[in-house]
Amino acid sequence: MKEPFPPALAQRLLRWFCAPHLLDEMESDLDELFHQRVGLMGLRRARWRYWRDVLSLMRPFVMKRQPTPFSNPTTTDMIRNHFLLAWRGLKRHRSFTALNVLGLSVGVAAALLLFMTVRYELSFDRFHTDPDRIYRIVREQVLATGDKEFTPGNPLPVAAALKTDLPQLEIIAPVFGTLDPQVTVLGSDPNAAHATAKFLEDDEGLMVGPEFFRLFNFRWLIGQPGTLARPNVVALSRKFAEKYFGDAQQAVGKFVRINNHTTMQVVGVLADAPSNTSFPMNLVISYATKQADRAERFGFGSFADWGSTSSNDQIFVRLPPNFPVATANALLVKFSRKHYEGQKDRDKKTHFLSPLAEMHHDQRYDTFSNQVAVVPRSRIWNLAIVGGLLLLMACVNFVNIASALASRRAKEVSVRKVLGSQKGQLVAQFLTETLFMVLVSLLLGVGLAYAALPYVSTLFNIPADASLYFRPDVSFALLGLLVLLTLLAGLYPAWILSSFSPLDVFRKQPSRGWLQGLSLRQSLIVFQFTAALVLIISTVINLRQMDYLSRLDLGFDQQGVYNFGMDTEYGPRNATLRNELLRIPGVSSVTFSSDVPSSNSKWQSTFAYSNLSKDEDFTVSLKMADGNYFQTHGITFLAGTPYAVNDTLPKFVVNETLLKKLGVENAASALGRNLRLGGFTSPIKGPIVGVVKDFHTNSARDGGVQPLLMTPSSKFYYAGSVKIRSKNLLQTVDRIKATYARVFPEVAFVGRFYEESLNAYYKAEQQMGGLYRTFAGLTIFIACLGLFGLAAFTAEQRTKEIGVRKVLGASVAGIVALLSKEFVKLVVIAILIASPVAWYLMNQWLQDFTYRIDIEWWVFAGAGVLAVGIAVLTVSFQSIKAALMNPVKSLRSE
Amino acid sequence: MKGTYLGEFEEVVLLAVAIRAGDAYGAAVVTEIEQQMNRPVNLGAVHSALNRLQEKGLVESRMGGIAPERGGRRKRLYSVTGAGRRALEEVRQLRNQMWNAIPQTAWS
Repeated sequence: MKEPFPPALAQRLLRWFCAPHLLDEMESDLDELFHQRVGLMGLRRARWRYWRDVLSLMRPFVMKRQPTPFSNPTTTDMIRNHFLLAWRGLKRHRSFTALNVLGLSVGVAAALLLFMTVRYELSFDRFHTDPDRIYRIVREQVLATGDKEFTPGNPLPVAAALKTDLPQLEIIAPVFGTLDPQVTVLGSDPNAAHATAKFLEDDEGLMVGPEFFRLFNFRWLIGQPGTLARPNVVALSRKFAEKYFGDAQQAVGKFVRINNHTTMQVVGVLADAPSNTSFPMNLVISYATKQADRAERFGFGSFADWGSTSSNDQIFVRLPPNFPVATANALLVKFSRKHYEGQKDRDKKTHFLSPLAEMHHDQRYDTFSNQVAVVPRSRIWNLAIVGGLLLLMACVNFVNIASALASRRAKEVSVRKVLGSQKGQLVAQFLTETLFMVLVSLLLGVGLAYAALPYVSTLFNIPADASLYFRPDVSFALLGLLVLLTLLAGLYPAWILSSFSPLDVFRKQPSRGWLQGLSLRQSLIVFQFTAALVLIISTVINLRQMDYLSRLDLGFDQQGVYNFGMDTEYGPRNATLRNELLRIPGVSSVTFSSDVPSSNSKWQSTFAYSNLSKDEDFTVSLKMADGNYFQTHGITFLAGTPYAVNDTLPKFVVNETLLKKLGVENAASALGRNLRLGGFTSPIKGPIVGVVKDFHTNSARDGGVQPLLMTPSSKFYYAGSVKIRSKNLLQTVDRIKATYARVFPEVAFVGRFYEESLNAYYKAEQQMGGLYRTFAGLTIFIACLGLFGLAAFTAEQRTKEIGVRKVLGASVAGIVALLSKEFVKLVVIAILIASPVAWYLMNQWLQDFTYRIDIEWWVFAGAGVLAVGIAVLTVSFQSIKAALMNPVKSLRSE
Repeated sequence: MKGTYLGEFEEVVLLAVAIRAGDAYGAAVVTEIEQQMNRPVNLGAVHSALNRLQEKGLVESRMGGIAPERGGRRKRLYSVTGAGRRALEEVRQLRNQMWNAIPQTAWS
């Protein structure tokens, strides 16, 4: 009879999991029981029991391998040993370790700050419920010239029309803002005559209805959103409530006067809005106020007029879940066609949806507040790229120096191997050392970023509150970086070194085998210097462009011009103010206007020139001003004269660009011709009395010189300007303030010199310039650290060679040249790569400016010379040290 | 601390080792328990219990001679230690003590 046999699969399973030293015992036990059971209960059940026994043996103590006699007593001891060795090793190479840790921690800190900025910028208005379903309704207008104009504004009737035409929309929230009001705190008495507390709230004053708070998560501390359905009520943020009334509880029920014309009751207090929102939520007025207003005090246009559009009137909507945006946009196209029917330019205007997330990024559309700059996504990605680049450079350095250091330890590794170290242990040891160093660097880097945050928050334009950024998930990212860096920086040298054959190392110079490794390191150096050079060149070009802009002849005189805000409510007193101001010594002229010569605000209108019944196919920029404007701002006339100061009849002054666009060659020939200016309430007709030389009507980035019309219209004098010819500017300004307070006791005074406001226009560019400078400095610093480390390493490797050379009569200079040469070569390669890259990038950036510099060759040459100089300086420290060494010393010892 | 408590199955295994004194190895203990208790026992459970008992110092083991019936393979022989014996006696004593404490009226 054939011998009964146990199930083969179960046997294989057992052999697989069972520890070898237990296998014999287990198998024999199983066999014995199996044979017994075959006799007792038959083959089938015996085999079944065999299976059950094998499975029951799958226990840790059966699987655990027996420790070999030569292995270490416990793993923890070995880890401790690794750390001890790591510590000793790092201590021995103190300067290299310091270099390495310094480079990495600076890189990590800078990258961390950059990533925080990126994260902050991308977090705007993401805290609302379902932010991806919220859209802003914007409008594209195709001009007859083919140009496209974009506006976030909607004519006032749009909101109501949407409600009937697109019932699919869940919420429709019209928003008007900002009012930039002057707020007079009245207290409990709405008719209080003597109120002294006045605040000019620039970039504040949003008008919304109750539905706004269903769309956006802004929390009410006191009161209900529903109360905003009434006209003439206002909700304040806790901050403003405390500013006005000292206490949030006290504020409710009290009264404030807005812009000296409308008294409003405080109905609620909002929690202070987070900083990452595009909505200024400090002063929220009910939208019903605007609907009830007939005097156009809260924005122009009527709720029946489809022709007038202001970017201050915006509409936010929420789509139903899973409603395709394309469908909604198609409905909006139909909507636009229907409602602009009968309008003169009906095929030109199309509404569509722009995601809420784009509000902070899409520069085509204005937001409510200038306090929160619109940051295009491209700039955010640039920051992320620079951050990644810095981190990469720091890591490259780290790997570079670590691997260079490791090669010095070839002998140590060999001795360990001869004494019986296993490859795994050596790898573990190298990894522990690296881990140790990376850990220290990361902790230092985080500490550095934390400490630097208050200083760099202005540079990055982010809030300085650390708790916003140092959140738990940052530690996960850092942990990931720790593992990644350790593996990257540690594994390569660990692997190479631990696989050295001890014999090879003792037999010949280990550096021979490293020739290939050196070329990898060389390319890493090239990479680093390329990155540093791109940033340096970009910085120089950026600085030159900003310098150019600040020197740009704007076509008017900014020297000593002091501008301040006016309240149109008290227009009749303007003449008094002018007379009073002119009595101050040093004040040479005074003017009132809608706007200073060059500003960010755009007031565009349609107009007619050749045929008064038909609009020209482009719009014109408007500035309302009295006749002193030209003298005060130093604007020169090509033909004609300014109108008189007191002239209230419609007369126009135009600029060269406008005439050029109209095809008028001779400025004088335009004088006396009639113009019709349409666009707001009622059209103005009048003759051209003067043509001025072009001056910048907007910032240089926004097109600089626009076609311009100027006419007197005291209704719109929001600004006053004073030309001061006096040595003592500050004293004069003080007297201006005092005079203003006397004439307009109701109005809060806000003024500044033109130079200050001009600087504000280029805030974004200047901020970018500051960023570039900082990071160009950082990258060159990190690159130099890497170069320094590598030069030191090379010099040390070649100590003997240098000794022999010196003995044979080489000069110090010759040796320094020998050592520097190969590094200079690398930097030159970097220059060749970096120049075209930098040229391309900066050429793109310059395209944003109407007035821009040419990129000149010497920028590249200069940056190259700088890089070579820094490299030589860095290397020479090491090479001179090596060259001055006494050959007796270097050759004596083996 | 290990060894302060003797589980029910451990007690059974310990007793089986004592019964098979001198020839107590995995399979033998299994057979013994199955015969005594008339219920199937898993080899893994027995080995696991033996392993625990050894850790608690209640049994000790040595490698036995080559057994021809096991294909020339050696077996690990277990024997009860002094501590193991004391543990068994303690259990028994505790049982007796408790048995004695049962009042006569309990069964009536």
